[in-house]
Amino acid sequence: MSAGEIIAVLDAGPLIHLDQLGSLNLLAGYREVLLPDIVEQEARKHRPEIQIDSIPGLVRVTSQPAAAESMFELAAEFGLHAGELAAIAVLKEHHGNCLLSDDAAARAMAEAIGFQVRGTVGMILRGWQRKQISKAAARDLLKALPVKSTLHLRPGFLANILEQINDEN
Amino acid sequence: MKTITLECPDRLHEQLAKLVAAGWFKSPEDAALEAVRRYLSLHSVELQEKQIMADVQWALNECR
Repeated sequence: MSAGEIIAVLDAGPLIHLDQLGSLNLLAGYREVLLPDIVEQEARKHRPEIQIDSIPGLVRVTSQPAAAESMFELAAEFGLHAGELAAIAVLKEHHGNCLLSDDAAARAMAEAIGFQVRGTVGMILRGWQRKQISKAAARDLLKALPVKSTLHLRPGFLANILEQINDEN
Repeated sequence: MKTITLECPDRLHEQLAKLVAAGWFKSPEDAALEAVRRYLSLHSVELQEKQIMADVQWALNECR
Protein backbone atom coordinates (compact mmCIF):
# COMPACT_ATOMS: atom_id res chain seq x y z
CA MET A 1 0.00 0.00 0.00
CA SER A 2 1.49 3.37 -0.99
CA ALA A 3 1.59 6.22 1.51
CA GLY A 4 -1.01 8.14 -0.45
CA GLU A 5 -3.55 5.38 0.18
CA ILE A 6 -2.99 5.20 3.93
CA ILE A 7 -5.46 6.64 6.40
CA ALA A 8 -3.57 7.57 9.55
CA VAL A 9 -5.02 8.36 12.96
CA LEU A 10 -3.25 10.74 15.31
CA ASP A 11 -2.68 10.18 18.98
CA ALA A 12 -1.55 13.14 21.10
CA GLY A 13 2.17 12.25 21.26
CA PRO A 14 3.33 12.86 17.67
CA LEU A 15 0.87 15.75 17.38
CA ILE A 16 2.44 17.56 20.33
CA HIS A 17 6.04 16.57 19.61
CA LEU A 18 5.99 17.51 15.92
CA ASP A 19 4.32 20.82 16.79
CA GLN A 20 7.02 21.49 19.37
CA LEU A 21 9.55 21.01 16.55
CA GLY A 22 7.51 23.22 14.18
CA SER A 23 7.19 20.22 11.88
CA LEU A 24 3.53 19.23 11.63
CA ASN A 25 4.00 19.47 7.85
CA LEU A 26 5.81 16.10 8.08
CA LEU A 27 2.36 14.51 8.36
CA ALA A 28 1.84 15.25 4.65
CA GLY A 29 1.41 12.45 2.13
CA TYR A 30 -1.29 10.38 3.79
CA ARG A 31 -4.70 10.04 2.17
CA GLU A 32 -6.20 11.42 5.36
CA VAL A 33 -4.95 12.21 8.83
CA LEU A 34 -7.82 11.61 11.24
CA LEU A 35 -7.84 13.50 14.53
CA PRO A 36 -10.27 12.23 17.21
CA ASP A 37 -11.88 15.03 19.22
CA ILE A 38 -10.63 13.59 22.53
CA VAL A 39 -7.05 13.57 21.23
CA GLU A 40 -7.37 17.22 20.10
CA GLN A 41 -8.67 18.22 23.54
CA GLU A 42 -5.80 16.37 25.21
CA ALA A 43 -3.22 18.02 22.92
CA ARG A 44 -4.67 21.52 23.44
CA LYS A 45 -4.65 20.96 27.20
CA HIS A 46 -0.90 20.29 27.11
CA ARG A 47 -0.13 22.80 24.36
CA PRO A 48 -2.78 25.50 23.88
CA GLU A 49 -0.84 27.19 21.06
CA ILE A 50 -0.68 24.03 18.93
CA GLN A 51 -1.01 24.66 15.17
CA ILE A 52 -3.42 21.82 14.41
CA ASP A 53 -4.95 23.46 11.35
CA SER A 54 -1.58 23.35 9.57
CA ILE A 55 -1.71 19.54 9.32
CA PRO A 56 -2.03 18.47 5.66
CA GLY A 57 -5.04 16.24 5.00
CA LEU A 58 -6.47 16.76 8.48
CA VAL A 59 -9.97 15.41 9.13
CA ARG A 60 -11.48 15.95 12.56
CA VAL A 61 -13.61 13.04 13.76
CA THR A 62 -15.83 12.44 16.74
CA SER A 63 -14.88 9.39 18.79
CA GLN A 64 -17.75 6.95 18.95
CA PRO A 65 -18.22 5.70 22.51
CA ALA A 66 -19.96 2.58 21.19
CA ALA A 67 -16.93 1.65 19.09
CA ALA A 68 -14.63 2.17 22.06
CA GLU A 69 -16.83 0.22 24.43
CA SER A 70 -16.13 -3.06 22.69
CA MET A 71 -12.42 -2.52 23.38
CA PHE A 72 -12.63 -1.44 27.01
CA GLU A 73 -11.39 -4.75 28.37
CA LEU A 74 -8.44 -4.94 26.01
CA ALA A 75 -7.64 -1.27 26.64
CA ALA A 76 -7.70 -1.86 30.37
CA GLU A 77 -5.32 -4.76 29.93
CA PHE A 78 -2.89 -2.53 28.01
CA GLY A 79 -3.36 0.38 30.44
CA LEU A 80 -4.57 2.87 27.81
CA HIS A 81 -5.91 6.36 28.50
CA ALA A 82 -9.01 7.88 26.91
CA GLY A 83 -7.18 9.58 24.03
CA GLU A 84 -5.25 6.46 23.05
CA LEU A 85 -8.36 4.32 23.23
CA ALA A 86 -10.27 6.86 21.13
CA ALA A 87 -7.51 6.86 18.49
CA ILE A 88 -7.63 3.06 18.17
CA ALA A 89 -11.44 3.09 18.13
CA VAL A 90 -11.35 5.65 15.28
CA LEU A 91 -8.87 3.46 13.40
CA LYS A 92 -11.36 0.61 13.50
CA GLU A 93 -14.44 2.72 12.88
CA HIS A 94 -13.01 4.61 9.89
CA HIS A 95 -11.07 1.67 8.40
CA GLY A 96 -7.77 3.40 9.05
CA ASN A 97 -4.43 1.72 8.47
CA CYS A 98 -1.89 3.38 10.69
CA LEU A 99 -1.79 4.71 14.25
CA LEU A 100 0.58 7.61 14.87
CA SER A 101 1.53 7.32 18.53
CA ASP A 102 4.52 7.51 20.85
CA ASP A 103 2.82 5.66 23.67
CA ALA A 104 4.32 2.21 24.13
CA ALA A 105 1.10 0.61 25.38
CA ALA A 106 -1.08 2.12 22.62
CA ARG A 107 1.44 1.02 20.02
CA ALA A 108 1.51 -2.51 21.43
CA MET A 109 -2.29 -2.76 21.43
CA ALA A 110 -2.67 -1.34 17.89
CA GLU A 111 -0.06 -3.77 16.59
CA ALA A 112 -1.71 -6.64 18.43
CA ILE A 113 -4.93 -6.01 16.53
CA GLY A 114 -3.18 -5.68 13.20
CA PHE A 115 -2.53 -2.00 12.52
CA GLN A 116 0.65 -0.30 11.37
CA VAL A 117 2.09 2.02 14.00
CA ARG A 118 4.58 4.88 13.65
CA GLY A 119 5.81 7.53 16.05
CA THR A 120 7.47 10.93 15.97
CA VAL A 121 10.92 9.55 15.08
CA GLY A 122 9.36 7.55 12.25
CA MET A 123 7.60 10.67 10.94
CA ILE A 124 10.84 12.66 10.89
CA LEU A 125 12.71 9.94 8.99
CA ARG A 126 9.73 9.43 6.67
CA GLY A 127 9.96 13.13 5.80
CA TRP A 128 13.58 12.63 4.79
CA GLN A 129 12.86 9.48 2.78
CA ARG A 130 10.00 11.26 0.98
CA LYS A 131 12.49 14.05 0.18
CA GLN A 132 10.36 16.52 2.08
CA ILE A 133 13.39 17.48 4.18
CA SER A 134 17.13 16.88 3.77
CA LYS A 135 19.09 14.30 5.70
CA ALA A 136 20.79 17.14 7.61
CA ALA A 137 17.40 18.62 8.53
CA ALA A 138 16.19 15.22 9.72
CA ARG A 139 19.29 14.85 11.87
CA ASP A 140 18.77 18.34 13.31
CA LEU A 141 15.16 17.53 14.18
CA LEU A 142 16.16 14.29 15.88
CA LYS A 143 18.83 16.13 17.88
CA ALA A 144 16.25 18.75 18.83
CA LEU A 145 13.80 16.17 20.21
CA PRO A 146 15.23 16.05 23.76
CA VAL A 147 15.73 19.84 23.80
CA LYS A 148 12.64 21.30 22.15
CA SER A 149 10.07 18.54 22.66
CA THR A 150 8.69 16.55 25.55
CA LEU A 151 9.66 13.25 23.90
CA HIS A 152 12.58 12.12 25.98
CA LEU A 153 15.22 9.87 24.47
CA ARG A 154 18.33 8.59 26.22
CA PRO A 155 21.43 10.32 24.77
CA GLY A 156 23.00 6.95 23.97
CA PHE A 157 19.86 5.77 22.20
CA LEU A 158 19.62 8.96 20.13
CA ALA A 159 23.28 8.61 19.20
CA ASN A 160 22.54 5.06 18.00
CA ILE A 161 19.74 6.34 15.76
CA LEU A 162 21.93 9.12 14.35
CA GLU A 163 24.69 6.60 13.65
CA GLN A 164 22.30 4.41 11.65
CA ILE A 165 21.25 7.40 9.58
CA ASN A 166 24.88 8.31 8.92
CA ASP A 167 25.34 5.02 7.11
CA GLU A 168 22.45 5.79 4.74
CA ASN A 169 22.47 7.95 1.64
CA MET B 1 8.54 -6.57 49.80
CA LYS B 2 6.38 -3.43 50.26
CA THR B 3 2.68 -3.15 51.02
CA ILE B 4 0.49 -0.75 49.02
CA THR B 5 -3.05 0.04 50.11
CA LEU B 6 -5.36 1.21 47.33
CA GLU B 7 -8.97 2.24 46.94
CA CYS B 8 -10.38 0.33 44.00
CA PRO B 9 -13.44 1.64 42.10
CA ASP B 10 -16.36 -0.81 42.24
CA ARG B 11 -16.28 -1.53 38.50
CA LEU B 12 -12.61 -2.45 38.54
CA HIS B 13 -13.06 -4.55 41.67
CA GLU B 14 -15.91 -6.45 40.00
CA GLN B 15 -13.60 -7.26 37.08
CA LEU B 16 -10.87 -8.45 39.43
CA ALA B 17 -13.41 -10.56 41.32
CA LYS B 18 -14.51 -12.17 38.04
CA LEU B 19 -10.92 -13.21 37.32
CA VAL B 20 -10.63 -14.68 40.80
CA ALA B 21 -13.96 -16.52 40.45
CA ALA B 22 -12.82 -17.92 37.12
CA GLY B 23 -9.75 -19.33 38.82
CA TRP B 24 -7.11 -17.10 37.23
CA PHE B 25 -5.96 -15.65 40.55
CA LYS B 26 -6.10 -16.60 44.22
CA SER B 27 -7.33 -13.15 45.27
CA PRO B 28 -8.18 -9.68 43.93
CA GLU B 29 -4.83 -8.53 45.36
CA ASP B 30 -2.96 -11.07 43.22
CA ALA B 31 -4.92 -9.93 40.17
CA ALA B 32 -4.10 -6.29 40.92
CA LEU B 33 -0.40 -7.14 41.30
CA GLU B 34 -0.42 -8.84 37.89
CA ALA B 35 -2.13 -5.77 36.40
CA VAL B 36 0.66 -3.56 37.79
CA ARG B 37 3.30 -5.93 36.38
CA ARG B 38 1.69 -5.76 32.95
CA TYR B 39 1.36 -1.98 33.07
CA LEU B 40 5.02 -1.58 33.95
CA SER B 41 6.15 -3.98 31.23
CA LEU B 42 4.11 -2.04 28.65
CA HIS B 43 5.53 1.29 29.74
CA SER B 44 9.16 0.27 29.96
CA VAL B 45 12.01 2.21 28.38
CA GLU B 46 13.13 -1.00 26.66
CA LEU B 47 9.78 -1.42 24.92
CA GLN B 48 9.65 2.23 23.89
CA GLU B 49 13.17 2.06 22.44
CA LYS B 50 12.41 -1.19 20.63
CA GLN B 51 9.37 0.44 19.01
CA ILE B 52 11.31 3.56 18.00
CA MET B 53 14.06 1.41 16.51
CA ALA B 54 11.38 -0.43 14.51
CA ASP B 55 10.32 2.98 13.18
CA VAL B 56 13.92 3.72 12.19
CA GLN B 57 14.29 0.41 10.37
CA TRP B 58 10.96 0.92 8.61
CA ALA B 59 11.97 4.41 7.49
CA LEU B 60 15.38 3.29 6.26
CA ASN B 61 14.30 0.10 4.52
CA GLU B 62 10.67 0.35 3.45
CA CYS B 63 9.62 3.97 3.38
CA ARG B 64 11.08 5.03 0.03
